[in-house]
Amino acid sequence: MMSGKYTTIDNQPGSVPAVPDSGHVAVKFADSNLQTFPPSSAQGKITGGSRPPRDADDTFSKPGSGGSSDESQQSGWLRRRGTFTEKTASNPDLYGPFWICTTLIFVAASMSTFVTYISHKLKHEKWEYDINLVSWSAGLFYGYVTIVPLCLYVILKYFSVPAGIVQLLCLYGYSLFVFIPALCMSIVPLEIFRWVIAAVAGLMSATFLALNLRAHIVSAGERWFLIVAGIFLLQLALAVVLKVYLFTVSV
Amino acid sequence: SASVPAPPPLPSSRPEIAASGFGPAPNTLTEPVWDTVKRDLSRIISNLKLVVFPNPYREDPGKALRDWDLWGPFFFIVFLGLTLSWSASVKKSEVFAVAFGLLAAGAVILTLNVLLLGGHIIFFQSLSLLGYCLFPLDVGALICMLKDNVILKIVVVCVTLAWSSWAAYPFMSSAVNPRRKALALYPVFLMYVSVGFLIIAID
Repeated sequence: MMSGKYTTIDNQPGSVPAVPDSGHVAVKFADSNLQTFPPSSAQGKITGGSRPPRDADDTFSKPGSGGSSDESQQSGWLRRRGTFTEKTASNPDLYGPFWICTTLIFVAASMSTFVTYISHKLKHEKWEYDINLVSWSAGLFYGYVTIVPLCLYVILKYFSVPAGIVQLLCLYGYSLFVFIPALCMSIVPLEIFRWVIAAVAGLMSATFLALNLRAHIVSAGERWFLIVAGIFLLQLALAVVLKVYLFTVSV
Repeated sequence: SASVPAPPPLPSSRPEIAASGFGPAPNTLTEPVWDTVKRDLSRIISNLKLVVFPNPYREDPGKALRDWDLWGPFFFIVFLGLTLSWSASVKKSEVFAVAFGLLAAGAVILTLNVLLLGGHIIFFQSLSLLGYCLFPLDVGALICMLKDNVILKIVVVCVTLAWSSWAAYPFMSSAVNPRRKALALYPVFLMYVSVGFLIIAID
């Protein structure tokens, strides 16, 4: 009978009666290195059990990396940390991605129209408005943000590292945010400047995607690098396609 | 025996309730077509005055919301598409298709946006009000079609765009939670800006 053990404990003066939980009887915490940080062991080497527990958003090991706000909208700028998926894992929103896409369509069509208008007027050529820009950019952006996450979802399911489709849509939508200022800055009529802007925007947005995906699918085995590299290249290709189609003026 | 006397026919603000079983059927089916058209036109005009010229001292500010109809918005959307199509020098039918699609789909998406943000709005009432708020842009498009000067177009479009946004602001902002007002209003602004841009660009 277990009551024998407990009566002995109960008889000790000043002790709190133990909860009958078999797992916690007479456990004493020795001087564990888990509690001290940095490890204060005199030996000067870290023993096996003393690594700090791996925390979801890396704040435990990198306390000084700079604060991040809670707003989903602003975390698109924090490309180094790859913490976007953790922030939005519980409440991904589709408002941001959808309206970022729609704003991008408008900005792309209007900037491209403006650029061709200015270059035609400077050379005194006749200019006509190309309505296909609107429908083309709408198809490109909406298609990219729906089809690529869908394919990625299927691929990730195949490699048994499932990610929610809504989280992927959210991630892709916010990754396109940097193209809005990039398209606005591409008005400058220097060709080399436009290529630099396209490269920088493509790299920033691809890195954002890659970091966030890598944090999630490292456990997929050796294939994770291929997937992440594919995502990275696709985003760069999008940036290049945008630059070539929208801002290459042939007068 | 208490037989309920038949109430008098409803006033002509709801002519489409033809055979509701209340007394003799209203004679909207047998009236001259001109009377029907005149009644619909007067309703369109009264709704237009209520929506686009909001007057804070009006005695019944909710009247436009109750008497919404869809003829007015349809007419304004088609008129804007036609004006843009007439102004365009090439690809006229595509211009009309893009303009019409943008406005119609835009109105539906804006209404869904308000509903998904947790706002309280009636779907067709919102379509109706958004369509009526296009009236200033219609006027602007007409002016831009008649006078083809770029500076004038920019000025006219800016003024009519501000007017449209100002007309749409009250009922859009009152439909959602105050903390989400900006989330509901930004897409409205975006749609009117893109329509304004189309008006300026098409020459």
